[in-house]
Amino acid sequence: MRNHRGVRVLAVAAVALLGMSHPGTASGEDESASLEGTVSVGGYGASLDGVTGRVREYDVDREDLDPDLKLELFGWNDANRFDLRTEFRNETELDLDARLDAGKNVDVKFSHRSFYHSLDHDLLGNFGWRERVGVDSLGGDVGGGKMLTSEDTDPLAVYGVRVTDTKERLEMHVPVGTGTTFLAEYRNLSREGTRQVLGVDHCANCHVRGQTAVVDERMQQATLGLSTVLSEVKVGYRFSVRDFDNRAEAARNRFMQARHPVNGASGAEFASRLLYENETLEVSKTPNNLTRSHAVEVAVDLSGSQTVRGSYVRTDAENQSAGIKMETNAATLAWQARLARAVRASASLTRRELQNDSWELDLPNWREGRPGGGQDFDWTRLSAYDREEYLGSARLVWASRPGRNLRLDYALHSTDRDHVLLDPDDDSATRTVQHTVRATWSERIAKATRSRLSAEYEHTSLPFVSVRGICEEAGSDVFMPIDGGQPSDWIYYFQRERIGTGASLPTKAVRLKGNLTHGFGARASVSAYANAAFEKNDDLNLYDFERTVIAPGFSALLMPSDEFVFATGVAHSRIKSNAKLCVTVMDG
Amino acid sequence: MDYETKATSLHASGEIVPEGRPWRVSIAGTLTFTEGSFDAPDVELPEETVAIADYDFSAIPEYSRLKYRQIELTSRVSRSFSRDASGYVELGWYDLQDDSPWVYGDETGSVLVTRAGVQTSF
Repeated sequence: MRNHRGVRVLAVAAVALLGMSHPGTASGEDESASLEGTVSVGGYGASLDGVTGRVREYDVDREDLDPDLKLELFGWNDANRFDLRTEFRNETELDLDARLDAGKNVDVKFSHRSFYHSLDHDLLGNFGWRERVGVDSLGGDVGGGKMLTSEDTDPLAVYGVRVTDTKERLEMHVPVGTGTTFLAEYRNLSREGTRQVLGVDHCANCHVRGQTAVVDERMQQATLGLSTVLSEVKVGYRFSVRDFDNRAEAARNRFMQARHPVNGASGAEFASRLLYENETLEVSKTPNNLTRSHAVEVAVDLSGSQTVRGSYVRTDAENQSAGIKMETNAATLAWQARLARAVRASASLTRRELQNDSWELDLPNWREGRPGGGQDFDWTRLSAYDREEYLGSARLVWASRPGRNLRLDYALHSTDRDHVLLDPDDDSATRTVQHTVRATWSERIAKATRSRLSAEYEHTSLPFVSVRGICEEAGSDVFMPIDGGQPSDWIYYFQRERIGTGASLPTKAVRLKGNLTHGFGARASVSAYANAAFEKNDDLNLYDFERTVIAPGFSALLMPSDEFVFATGVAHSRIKSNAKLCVTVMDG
Repeated sequence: MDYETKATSLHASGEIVPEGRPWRVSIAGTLTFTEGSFDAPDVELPEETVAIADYDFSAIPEYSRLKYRQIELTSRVSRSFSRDASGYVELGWYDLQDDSPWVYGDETGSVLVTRAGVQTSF
């Protein structure tokens, strides 16, 4: 449906306004004025055609007439000053920035953003498949019991959320000691609207059901900080708390009664293999979280233009819905210095440790009460978060002459995970070590020509991979029961083994960047850049992972006269990567 | 199995501010082509199968293909009435052509946006 009425009204009004000219009404300027600003009052209209959620993903466009209001204010009085900028379009979209400097001791900032974000609606059209077990006498396919079906319970739904993000910051110099500063920050981020969630039945048949869920999430974060200077030492403490609250009622999915998908029989046999069936349960529920952190930082100015800084941060995060807690401790030591007139250096080292609660999974016994069944597969999930990390960096900058700069960087990232194996042939291989070296050269080649080149090499031993996560093969030529004494054909699925290790992270990477800018006087300039990356992981057992990125670009600026400015450009990117696709063996 | 994405974007903008005249005109446009898809996969099948496993993967390149062409064109004309007051008209045309609709259906659509108003400074 199109509606041009609002657009026409706007256009007519605008033409009438632009046709009016009042050249003799310039107001006088008051040099002592303490307040100045700009007010813009207008209207906004849109005409829509087709689907607009993708082409205008972050805008509310509707065939209606909305206000188009802007206000900018700036004022001062002695040592005090403030500014305000706001833009309002409708009940969903508002931008506001405000700042107040009350003398030299109080600095207050406030900002608010609200906008609409259109979300995707999966039509589930690709979720339809059925096994073919043979051909009938007429040459038609004979369907088997393994299948995938789908159902969209709200096919006309248009999903999206209104996002509001409000930030406040107060920094105040306290008249105690030297350089004592109090800091308070608050942020409120919320998302309200609807989204699509999927519920998946399994075994009776694979049935995917899409439905509408309400989104009502709010994240609040508050920070309090205090810092002061004691001689050459600056000391600071900061406390932060973040609360994520999911206030929406979770979507509920009806899981069908388990039975044979073709003839409807064998209900007890199918049900005994499932964790749940023939009941309605919550799906896709985001848990509530509460995070608190304490940070202490000490910085010392040493002689010879050197500074040493140390910090310690402890963070406690809790999944309040599940009662799982994670503790993070991080300590950092950093140093920076001017080694010579043209040489600066810096280095840092951080040790970080994460410990997350384990989780006991209490499952019903597999095929309880059925022949060959009754196996207890309860297990304890040890968190992949549990780890010890070291992050190191070193930088040397040499400015040999004005316009010429060489920067050398080195970075170390070591991650030792407690419960994640990274090598299928070595059960003790849990540590990822990544070394990155980079050289960056900047130079003014000629008076109007600047260039910048950067080359980086990264080597990673044992990057994060899915060990034995893909591709199956038989574990034995003879299907044997896992506990013995049972019919082998009930449990042979468990005899299969996955053998392939999958990855999307490289062990070796070369990344190159370069750009060149040339100015033709003050009225024209051209700039060209090219980025490239070549990444590879050849430590996998079934395939080599590779990723190649090529991204060149060009831009030009031309100002032939004081009355005309023109800019143009083109950017291109090409990313190619690969993965291994294996077919799983599926049979109940 | 290879996956490749390509994106190419061209943009141009210009602004005219005639000296001694109350008019100011600006125009900007961006044309973007994006696409991505899997190549036909070389699928690893199990050495032995429990049931029939005559899978057909020939349609994956087509099903995985995404291809869009997007145009964003905006223009603004403003005129000063006096030193402190002006009016403006702004048009924006946003058009997306979905050349390979699949998972989310055909997302082809366009929006014509009109803004107009007056502005004053003090």
